[in-house]
This record gives sequence, structure tokens and C-alpha cells, in this order.
Amino acid sequence: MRTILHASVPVHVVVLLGALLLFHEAAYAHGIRVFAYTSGPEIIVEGKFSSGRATINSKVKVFSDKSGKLLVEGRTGKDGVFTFARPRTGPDEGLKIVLVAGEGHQAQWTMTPEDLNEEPMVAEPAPAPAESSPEQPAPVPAAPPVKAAGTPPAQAIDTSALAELVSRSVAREIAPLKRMMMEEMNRGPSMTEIIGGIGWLVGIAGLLAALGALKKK
Amino acid sequence: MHISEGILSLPVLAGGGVVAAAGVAIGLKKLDYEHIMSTALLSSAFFVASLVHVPIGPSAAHLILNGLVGLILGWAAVPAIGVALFLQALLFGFGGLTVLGVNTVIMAGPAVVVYLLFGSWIREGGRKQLVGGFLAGSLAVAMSGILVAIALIGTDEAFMKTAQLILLAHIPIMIIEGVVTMFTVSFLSRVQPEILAISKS
Repeated sequence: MRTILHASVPVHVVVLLGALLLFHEAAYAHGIRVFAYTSGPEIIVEGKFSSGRATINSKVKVFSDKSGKLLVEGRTGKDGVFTFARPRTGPDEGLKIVLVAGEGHQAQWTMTPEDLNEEPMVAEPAPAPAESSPEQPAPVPAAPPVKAAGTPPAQAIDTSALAELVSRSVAREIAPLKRMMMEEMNRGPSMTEIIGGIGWLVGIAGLLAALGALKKK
Repeated sequence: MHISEGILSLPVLAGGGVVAAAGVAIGLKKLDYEHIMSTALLSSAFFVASLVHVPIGPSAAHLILNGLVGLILGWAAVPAIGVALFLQALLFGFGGLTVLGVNTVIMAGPAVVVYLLFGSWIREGGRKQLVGGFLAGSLAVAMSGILVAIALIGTDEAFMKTAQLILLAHIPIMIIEGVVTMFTVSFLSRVQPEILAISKS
């Protein structure tokens, strides 16, 4: 082992390696990522290089993951974002979103049916009456029914409009959070992974060297 | 210059895999015990080089260093680059496991070619060494670009257009790699000339 180190470890390669690591702060690389999320009636697709730079003017293709049919096609804008109206999909049909950045760069994101069908608008009015009924019978049996009989019609209109309003504003508020989460999931290489990779390479070499040493004996 | 997963057809992937495996086998056979550590270090340099980006106008390209790795290691560059690409795919998500063979051919093939062309030049020293270093560094990048375009034949990207795009985008990188390789080689030949003899054996 000592002879190996002495004879041929190129100190300068180590220096070069160190220099390369220092550059990492400003490092970019060409891994490419795409992620998509719903925002109200729309689906937003974002493309990024693993460095965080947006993929500008890249082709986006949206397929049904069930039939494989091409549903929507477009290009990302200056900010790497492509927005399209949510296509009509079956209950168990998801979307496969493919981003093609050219020269062999391509990435894919799948939206499951659950991702797509998260609109809470339809079956909303039901919970409100259900909530009030179990509590009331015990404390005041007679009075509340009268009140309830008078107010519900007015409230029902309000609640459905309200539900839609709430779900829309929640969608808007949540969109950046979704984005942050996706970005977090799609992060470029971290220092840990880089150092880990180098560790692997040195480890593999050590293993080979050890095997070689055994053979020599 | 990593090709992503899901683009190439099965025959291209399989062909790349077979060629890469053959190259790795030759490289391992030629790699002798004394130089395992140097090989690993150059492999690490290659592994990290892809993270060093050089901005070019609106776009950016990264260093590759396959010319340097090839000049110093010769055939052993194939396993060195192959393992580094494997780890890049695994840890960084660059390229991918199914495209590993093709990507290895793209990066390591030119490394071996520049070694065969310029390997003897850099051991001679003097001006020939400098020129050889520069040409090896820059041509290796150019050849990788052409190989990417060749691999993409059969996808919906036309060969000539892709090749032109890639080569144009990589001209600055070719110059930078040429200079880096030239200086590294001349530096090594002054302070540790035995490294340059690794690939000779």
C-alpha cells in the first residue's frame, strides 16, 4: 500500500479535485428535472436544470398514462413554466408529462389520478348539516330545529359559493408551497452526495488494491 | 453531455452496453496494481468535473475532462469513466442506469482515441507535448458531442442539426478543456513525469 501511494498518487490530481470542489458553489450541471402541480382549473409544469436554471423554450408533451395518447403539447416560456388547462381525464387516469430539452435531455413527471382529482367542490354541502345534528339532541332538544328549518336554504347557496371560493383561494395559496416541495424533491446534487461519490470511488480503488495485494502474495 | 433515460431505443442501449462492457474489460486488464489509486483519483476528477459549469451566453455547459483522463490512463479510462458515470447516475440523476453503457461510450470512447493519437506526443515533451495536450482536451469533447448526435439518430432529433447544436454549444468548453489539459499535462511532466507513463504499460 505504501508503495502505491508513494509511486503514483498524483498529488496534483488531488489539488485539481480540491479546486473543482471549490467551484461547486457556482456549479451547474445538466441533469434536467420537470415537475407539475394543479392550480385550480390549470396544471402548471416547470422545467429546471439540476442547477436550478429554468429550461427555456423546451417542448412539453402531456400523455395519458392509461392510453398513452398525446393530450397536450406546448413549450415552456422564459421562466421555464408551461401552463395548460386541466384535460378531461377518467377517474383512474393519470398524466405523464415529458419535458424535452433537446440534445439528449429529457425528463418525466407523473401525475396520479389523486393528484388530478383533488377538487373538493362537488360533495361539500353535506358535512355542514351532519356536523350540527349529532351535538344538538342532548342539550336543547326543542329550540334548534326551528332555527335550522328557517336558515338552511339561504346558507346552502352561500356554502356552495363559499366552497368554491375557498377552494380556489386555497389552491392559489397552496401553489407556491407545492412548488417548493417539488423543488425540494428535485434538488441538484448536494455536497453530501458529491463527497459520498468520491468516497465510493476511493473505496472501490481500495478494494481493488487490497485484492491485488492478496494476489501478489 | 449525458443522454437522459427514455430517449434511446433498445438496440442503441444494448449496443452501447456491449461496447462499454468490452471497453471496461480491456481497461481493467490493462490496469495494473500500482496505478489503481491514480485511476480512482482521475475517476473522481471526472466525477466532479461535470458539476463545474461554464456559462456560455444564455446556456451553460460543464467540464468533462475525458481527454485528460484518457491521456493519463489510456484504456483504463474506460472503467474509470464508467464507474464515475454510474455514480453520477445514482447520486445526481445525470443520465441513468439504462443509458449507462451509451454514456460510457460517449465519454470514454474519445478518451481512448485521444490517448491513441496523442499519448506518445505528451511523453516527448516540448512543444509537441503542449499541442498534444490541447488537442487531446478539445478533440475529446468534440468527439463526445458527435457521438451524442450519432446516438440520437433514430430519435426525432436530426443528426446534422443536433451535431451542430452540440458542437457550437461546446466550443468554449473545447477551448477551456484544451487549455486545462495542456497545462495539467505540462505541469505533471515537470513535477511527476511517472504519471504520464501510466498508460504506457
